[in-house]
Amino acid sequence: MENFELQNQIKVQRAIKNLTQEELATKIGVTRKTINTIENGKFVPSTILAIRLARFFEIKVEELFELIEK
Amino acid sequence: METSLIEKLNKSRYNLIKWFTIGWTIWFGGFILKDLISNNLILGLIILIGLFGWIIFSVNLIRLRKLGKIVNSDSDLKNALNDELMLHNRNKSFTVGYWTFSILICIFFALSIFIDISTLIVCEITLYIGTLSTLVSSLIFNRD
Repeated sequence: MENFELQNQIKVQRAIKNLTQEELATKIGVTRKTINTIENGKFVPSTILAIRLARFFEIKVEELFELIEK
Repeated sequence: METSLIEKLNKSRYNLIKWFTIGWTIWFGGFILKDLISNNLILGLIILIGLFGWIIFSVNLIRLRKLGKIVNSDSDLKNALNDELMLHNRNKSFTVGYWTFSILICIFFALSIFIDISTLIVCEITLYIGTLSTLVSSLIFNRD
């Protein structure tokens, strides 16, 4: 899996909804650090959390997360 | 901007781990040193500092219980504070602790072939460093 990089649009989607990381974290039910590390690509979320995030932003998971081959 | 309850409790939990680490370092460190020092004045000083560490550790145990009561009263809050990143970091900390314990046991086992070491000292040092490594790694993995 080291040949792949998971990129995401969380920052963009947050900006559209005008939410801070902390506000998003509260709405999703996780800590701010979890949102921060996912957004910065330091932590890969579980499928469940990825789907929950996508549902919250009302977009498909593939639109929120994209697997890029290095 | 007002900080959410999740963030406040997360910060409290981090501070609790920090004070547990400080308390454990002073208390159990002094506990080990008291068996190795014969000078009465230094021994008294170490016991006094160790007692201070024990107080820090005990006070934090009470604070942990209070925090636990708040968190356990709300399942959403409990789930948010034990989210997957937290569980991931907790697993990493326990892994660090496991390897520290294993390596220390190997070192003491090898040393015991050449020198005579007290079983009590071996147990105390292994427990001290093993626990400390788990606490310190938890602080590193969970830092902001």
